[in-house]
Amino acid sequence: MKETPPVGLDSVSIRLAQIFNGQEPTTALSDEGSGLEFEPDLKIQPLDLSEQDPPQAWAIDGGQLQILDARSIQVVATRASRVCFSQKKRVFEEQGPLHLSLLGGTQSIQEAKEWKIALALGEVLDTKLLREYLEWKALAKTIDDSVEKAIVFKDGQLRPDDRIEIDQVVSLLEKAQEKDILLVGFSKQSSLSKGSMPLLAWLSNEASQMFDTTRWWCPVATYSIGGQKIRVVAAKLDSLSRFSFRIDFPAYLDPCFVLNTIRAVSNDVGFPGYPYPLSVADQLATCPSWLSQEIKQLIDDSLDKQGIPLQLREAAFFDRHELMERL
Amino acid sequence: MSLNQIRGRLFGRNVSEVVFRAQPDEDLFIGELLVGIDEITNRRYLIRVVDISYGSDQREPLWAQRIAGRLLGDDSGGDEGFIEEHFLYEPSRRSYQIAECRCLGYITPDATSFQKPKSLPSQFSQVVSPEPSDFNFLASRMGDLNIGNLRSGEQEVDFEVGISGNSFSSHIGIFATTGMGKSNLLQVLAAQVMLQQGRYGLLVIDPHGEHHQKLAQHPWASSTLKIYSSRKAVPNASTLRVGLGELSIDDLRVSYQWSHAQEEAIFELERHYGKKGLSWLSEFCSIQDLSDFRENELSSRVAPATLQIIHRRAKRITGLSIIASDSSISVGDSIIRDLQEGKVVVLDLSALDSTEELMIASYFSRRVLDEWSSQYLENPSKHSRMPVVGIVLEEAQRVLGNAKSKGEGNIFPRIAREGRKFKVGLCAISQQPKLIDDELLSQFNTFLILGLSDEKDRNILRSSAKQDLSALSKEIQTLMPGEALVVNLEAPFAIPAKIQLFSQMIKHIEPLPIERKSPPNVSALMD
Ligand SMILES: Nc1ncnc2c1ncn2[C@@H]1O[C@H](COP(=O)(O)OP(=O)(O)O)[C@@H](O)[C@H]1O
Ligand SMILES: [Mg+2]
Repeated sequence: MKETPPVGLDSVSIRLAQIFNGQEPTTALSDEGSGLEFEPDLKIQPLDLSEQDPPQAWAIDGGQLQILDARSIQVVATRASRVCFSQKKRVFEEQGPLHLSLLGGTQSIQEAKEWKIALALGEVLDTKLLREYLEWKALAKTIDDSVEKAIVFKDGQLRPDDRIEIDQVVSLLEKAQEKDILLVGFSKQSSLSKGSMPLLAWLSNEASQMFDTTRWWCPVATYSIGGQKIRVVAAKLDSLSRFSFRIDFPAYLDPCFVLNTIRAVSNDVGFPGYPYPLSVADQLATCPSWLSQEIKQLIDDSLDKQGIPLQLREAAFFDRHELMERL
Repeated sequence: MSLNQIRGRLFGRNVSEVVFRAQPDEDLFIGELLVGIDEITNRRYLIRVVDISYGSDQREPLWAQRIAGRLLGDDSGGDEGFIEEHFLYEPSRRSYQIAECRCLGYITPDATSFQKPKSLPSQFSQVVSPEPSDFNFLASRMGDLNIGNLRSGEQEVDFEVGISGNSFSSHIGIFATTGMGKSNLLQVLAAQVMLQQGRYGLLVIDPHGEHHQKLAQHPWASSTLKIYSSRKAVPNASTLRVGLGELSIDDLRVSYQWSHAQEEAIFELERHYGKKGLSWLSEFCSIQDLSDFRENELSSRVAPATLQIIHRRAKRITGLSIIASDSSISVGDSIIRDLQEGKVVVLDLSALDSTEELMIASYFSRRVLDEWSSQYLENPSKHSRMPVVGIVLEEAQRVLGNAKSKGEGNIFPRIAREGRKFKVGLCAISQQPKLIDDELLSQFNTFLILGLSDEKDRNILRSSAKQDLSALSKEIQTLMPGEALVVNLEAPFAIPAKIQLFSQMIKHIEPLPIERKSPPNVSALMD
C-alpha cells in the first residue's frame, strides 16, 4: 500500500473486535427506529426438512432510479414488479411501468397530489416512499389476483413506511387472511442488531455451535399494524444458503407451516434458501443505469421542444463529478 | 424434420462463420444443416453446425461450475448425510447452447440458385430446420451414381446424394478407419455403375474376395458383372490367369521391396535372357546350381545372396496358380474387353498375398492405361466412345505412398497424373490417407470421407480437398458407420451423406427385361 496507514486503524479494529466478542456495555436487541417488541430470549430451533408446496408463489419487488439531480430538484423513476410461479414455472410476470416523478421542495407536494398520497403536515415525499407506495399497490392487486392458500412475498418488511395510509395496508392484511393467503415479508438485508452486532450474523454463529444441521429458525420479535400482529423471525432455510434472513408474517400463522411453504420455493440451486420468485421479481424491478440515459434523452427532447436552452439545462443538471480528474 | 419450428436465433460473427443461441434443451448435432432466414431479403442461409457449447447470461464467472457442484452435492446425499433437493428453476432463461456454424451460402428467394456466402443474414435471424425444397439447388449436381441420402447431423433427409460416374477419371478417394463402411460404399458404387449399363467400366481389385459374392446378388449381375478368380470354388467366375510373359519388371518393382543391388541383378538377368516380360523367370527357376550359373553365365556380377533371394521369389511367383507360362491362356484381353463394354470386373485375389496382389493389380492397371491411351492417340473417335474406367485399389497408400510413388515404373502414380485425359482413373481406398503422397492426393477430385479417427489423416485430407474442410474435423471424427462427407467440385460445399446399405439397395432394383437392347455406346464400340 502506497499510502500511510489511515488514522484510527487501531482503535476501529479494536472496537469492531469488541462488538464481535460481545464485550459491549449493552447487548440489547434493537432495530432502526422500530416499534418491535422483542422476544425476552432468543430460542434458536432446528428446522426439519418438510416442504409445503403452495398452489401459487407470488413475489413483489420495487426498483428505483435517479435520472436528474440538481439538488433543489430531482427527477426519479420508480416501479414495482410482480411475478407468479406455480409448480416451479413462471406463469405470470409484470415488470410494471416506470413512474417518473419530480421531487424537491414544493414539487414534492405537487407530486404527492398527483399520486394521491396524503402527506401529513411536515412529511416529505422521497424516492423510497414512492417505491414502497407502488409496492403496496402491487401487493393489494396481487392479493386480489392470487388463488386461495397462495404464498405472496413482498421484498422487505411488512411494516409500511409511516407515511403510507395504514387503512389500506390493514384491509390488505384482512383480505389475505380471508383467502388463506400466506403474506410474507422477506428482507434481503436487515438492520436488526444485538448491541451493535448484526443480529443475523450473531444468530448464525450461535446456531452453528448448537446444532449439526445448518437449517434453523428463531422467533425474534412481534409488531402490530393497525391491530394486526406480525411476527418477525430469523431463519436459514437451506444448508447451502450462505445467509440467514429476516422474515415477517402475520402472527396467527403457524411459523413452521410458513417456513416449510417458503422452503418449497427456495430450493433453486442458484439461490438456495432464498425464494426464487423474489429473485426474479428483483431482476424485473431493477433499473439498469443505461435506462437513466435513455430517459434523460426523452426529457431533453421534450425540453428542447419547449424551448428551454440546453445551456440552462446543463448548468442545472450537469454532474460535476464528471469534471473531476480521477486516476 | 419439423417445419417452421424455431431452433435458435443468430447473433454474431461474420460472413463465413455464424453463431446462434438455442434453448438449453434444443437437440442440436454437429454436422446438422440448418437455415437462417433473413426476413428482409428472404434469403435462406444454409448453415452447418460445427461445434456446440454451453452459454449463460450470469455475470458470475463460475456460475455454471457452482450450480453443477451443488447438484452433484445433492446427488451424493449432501455433506450432512440427508437429502436436500435443489432444482434449476427456469433453465431456459438461465442457460443456453451456442452453436458454432459455418455459413455454406444462401438460397436465393426464388429458390433457383445457391450463392457462396458474401453477405450476412441480419442479426437475430431465426434459425429453422431446412425444408426438402431448400436442397433443390443441389439436385442437378448430384450425378448419376446415387450413393445415399443427404444427412443433417444424424438425421437422414429425403434427398438423394451421388456423384457422376465421370468422376472416376479424375480419381475418387474413399477414406475411413476400419469398420466405417468403406467396403459397403464401394459395393454401392459398383452396383450403381452396373445400373448405368455400359456407361462406365470398373475394375475392382478384391484382395479379400469380399466383393464378388455381394455384387453377384445384384439383379443385373448376369449382364453387367464379370468375376475372375484364382480359386476354383467361386461360382460364375472365370479362372483368373496371367501369362508370365505379360508381366513386366515394373510390376515386380511396385509390388516387392527390392534393394538397389537386387534391382540391378534383375536387370542383369533380363539382359541375360533377353526375353519379353517376365517369361525368363520360369527358365531361371529351373536352375539347380545357382553358383555355377552365377560364375559362368553372369560372370559373377551378382552377389550370391542377391541371386538367391531373386531365385526364391521367382520360384514363388512361377508357382502361383494364377500365373501361366503360356500367355495364350491369359485373361488380360478378355478383361480389357469387359471394361470396354462398361462392365464391373471383379478380380478375386484372395488366394494371393499382398505383394502378389499388387503385382497383378499393377499388371491390369498398366493394361488398361495402355489400351485407353493408345486408343486416345491412335483412334480418337473410338476412344471418345469408350467408357470412363475406374480402377479400385484397396489400401492404396501401399502404392501411392511417398517413396513408392517416386519410384520409376509405378503405374499407379502415372494413372493419377495422366489418366484423366485417357478416361482412366483410380478409385483409391485407404485407412491412412496421411501415407499418400500429397501431390498425388491433390489429383483426386472426389473424396468420399467416412469416419476417420486419426487427426493426421483428417489434416491431410483438409489440405488436399476440393472444398473447405477446415471446420469439419470434429464431424469427421464423430461420423458413424455409413455416414460420409462427399467432397468434390460439383457440390458447393462438402455434402453430408448417409450411404445406403448395399443389401438394402439391391432389394429395390427391378430385374432387367429379358430382351435388353445393348446400350448405344457399347454397340458403337463394335466397329
Ligand atoms: N451405409 C451404412 N449404413 C449402415 N451401416 C453401415 C453402412 N456401411 C457400413 N455399415 C456397418 O459397418 C460395418 C462395417 O462396414 P464395412 O463396409 O465392412 O467397413 P470397412 O470396409 O470400412 O471396414 C458393416 O457391417 C455395417 O454394419
Ligand atoms: Mg472393408
